[in-house]
Amino acid sequence: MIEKSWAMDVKKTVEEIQHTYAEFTNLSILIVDSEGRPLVKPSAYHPFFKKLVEADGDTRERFWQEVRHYAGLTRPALCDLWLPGVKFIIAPFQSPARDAVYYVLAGVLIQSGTKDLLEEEVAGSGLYDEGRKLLYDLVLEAEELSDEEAEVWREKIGKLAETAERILRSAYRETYVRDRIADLRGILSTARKERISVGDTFEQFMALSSAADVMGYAQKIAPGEYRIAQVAGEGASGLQDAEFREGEGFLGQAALSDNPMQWTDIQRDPRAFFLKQRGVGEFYGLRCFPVRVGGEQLGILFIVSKKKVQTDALLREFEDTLIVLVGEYIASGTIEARMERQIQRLRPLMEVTRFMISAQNTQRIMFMLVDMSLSLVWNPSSAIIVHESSNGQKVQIVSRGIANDFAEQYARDVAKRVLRESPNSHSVGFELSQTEEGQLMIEYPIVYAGKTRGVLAVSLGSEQEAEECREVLLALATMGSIILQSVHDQQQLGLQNERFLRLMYASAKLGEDDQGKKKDLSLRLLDEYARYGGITTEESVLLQRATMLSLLNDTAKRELSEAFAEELAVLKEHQAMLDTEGQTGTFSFSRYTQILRTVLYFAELDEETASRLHLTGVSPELFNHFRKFMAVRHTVQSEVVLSDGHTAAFNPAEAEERGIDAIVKEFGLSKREKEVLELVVRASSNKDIAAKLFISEHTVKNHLTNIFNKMSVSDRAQAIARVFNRGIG
Amino acid sequence: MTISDQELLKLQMECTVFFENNPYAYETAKGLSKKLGRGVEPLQIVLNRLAAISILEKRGEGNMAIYSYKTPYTQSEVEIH
Repeated sequence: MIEKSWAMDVKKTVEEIQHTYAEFTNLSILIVDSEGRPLVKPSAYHPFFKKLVEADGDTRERFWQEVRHYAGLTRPALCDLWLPGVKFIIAPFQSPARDAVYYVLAGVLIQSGTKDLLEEEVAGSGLYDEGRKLLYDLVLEAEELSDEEAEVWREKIGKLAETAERILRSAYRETYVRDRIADLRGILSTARKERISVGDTFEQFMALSSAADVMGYAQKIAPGEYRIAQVAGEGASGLQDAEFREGEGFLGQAALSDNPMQWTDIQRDPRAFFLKQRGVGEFYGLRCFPVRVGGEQLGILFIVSKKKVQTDALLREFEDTLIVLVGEYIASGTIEARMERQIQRLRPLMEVTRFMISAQNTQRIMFMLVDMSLSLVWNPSSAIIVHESSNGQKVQIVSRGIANDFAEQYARDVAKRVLRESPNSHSVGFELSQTEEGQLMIEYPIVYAGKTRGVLAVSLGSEQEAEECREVLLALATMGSIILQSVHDQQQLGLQNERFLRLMYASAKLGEDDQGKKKDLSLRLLDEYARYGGITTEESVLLQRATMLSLLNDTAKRELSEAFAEELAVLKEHQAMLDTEGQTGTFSFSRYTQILRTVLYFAELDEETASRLHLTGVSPELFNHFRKFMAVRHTVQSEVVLSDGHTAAFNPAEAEERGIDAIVKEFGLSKREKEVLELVVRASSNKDIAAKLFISEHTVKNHLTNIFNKMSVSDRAQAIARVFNRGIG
Repeated sequence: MTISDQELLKLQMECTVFFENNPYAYETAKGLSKKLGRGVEPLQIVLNRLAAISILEKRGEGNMAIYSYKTPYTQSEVEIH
């Protein structure tokens, strides 16, 4: 293969030199490989080797057997061939690949004074015909030489061997490197079109190298732990997925080094056991190359040589460079895969942003951050978000997968470490910390409004996992910070607007004494009705703002239209509702407007109880519920006045709770019956109760029958009355 | 056609948001498939993943398994000592 790739001019150069030496020494010269095959044409100056090459196979073989007797020569020597006294110079030299011995053969030299004797000896010898003729001619044509002259020719032929070795070696190197570069170019060209598997690069490298019998890549899977992710070579499949630790065997030792490592002649070394016992068998040498990206070690490339191979230093260097390239290829693949995994997570994260932006509530955002972080890491186990409360004196926690007491302890630690000691550190990076229990946590600060307000922490299995998840979690934490900032800004703006509205309301009340009192009563009713459970706190707060706005003049309303658009829309609809008063037909108004209309209607009354049984546009259920609330409120207030002699703060919800507790105790109601009664008192229909308790309406009726029997009442109205009587008693 | 990891993750997030918005929802994979307009098979994978990481609670097995949101531990008044 090597010979084929020789350039013609290299052959010609060697032939020229051979011819020059032949002319100079008057000897026949032939350069052969380790099997006796001529590397170049024999010199034509002296005919012996020309005739030998053209002779029959037996003659050639017989001659070659004679040469073989001298195998093992390391220096040029004068050797007897065929007959004692018929001498040839045999000059060995290393083959270009340094894997065999080639020879320069030169002859014939006949010691002075022996030619006649040899002629007789040859003529009388029993050699077969062609061989005898060749030898006879050889002896006839040979000149007698003195010992000194023979020594000079021996040295000269030795020089020829050295020169031939250098020329062939140089040509071989050039050809080898050129061929490998061509192979490499082919591989790179394919790799540009499609990513080649690591296994394929190993196969290709082993085809290029003379000293690689097994090649593998051990990937770092955890600090100090490696797994063989890819392996190629005969008998090496047992190594696939084998794991080892730093310091364990040769591979484990290589893992501790930042530089390539090499061991040879290690057949009996116990550190080779790991590779031997997994099918590699006996081997001579091992080379290991770290695969790194920046300061991070990704794994180790290793190459096993089963036998000793003499390799040229330059070619060895070329191979090492190739291995480093394979390492770079693996590293780029790892980084690419890592990036791809991160991108795979970043894209859905962008989608989540839409939902998070719509969640204008700190706790909802905290829920999302915890749940999303668990979805974004590879092996999730727990996540916690710690966020300072608005007054900065307490912290809020939302967590999953963490024991409650640990969550609180961790929150205090974060408060001390991050929120108190370095609140102005606006770092957007992450920090790895280890809890006392040995849990590895990756922490991201939640920074907004110029201050660190909290920490999102996710527990991870290893530092490597942290490395792979850090960017995507950073994106999540940053996104969370931005959204929390937006909520914070809106809350601040809302507070300012609210303060301004209250100021304007107070000012407007000065000129509207009677109306002012009624609006104040409306505000109180809305507050109490929320505590009674008739409306939510959010509904109450919005309607209180709408009530205050209703007292302002149109100019003031216009000034505040941007800040209180929703409240003004309710007021506008409320006006439309008033306009339909007395008209017949079907009207549809929002729940907000219906509540506002009802509250303002009751606040306008001189009497504490409404004389009307319905309001146009207000649902009968809502109206009746509020009327009941007003009745209870009135009763309780009267009772309180009578008993205490001063107006105490009334809390219908508390009265209701006290009443139910008393009824449960007095009549022995079951837990389920208590739940049903609580809903009855809040004016829930049988259908509502069934939906809320996940039971059928039929079951609700059964529970009600039992409750009424136990309480000795005939309907829900009596049951409600009894509850409130007990509550205020 | 197999669904990619990225699409599964997208669906996982969509399901998480759905259950966060509807904390009292009790859904089978089939029921949720109608609500979200997504295939039952990928939903099944995603719902089981969410149950495995304790975001959802799973009752029952197979097609009849019911999934509901598991509210995370929340404490809003932790004193800082």
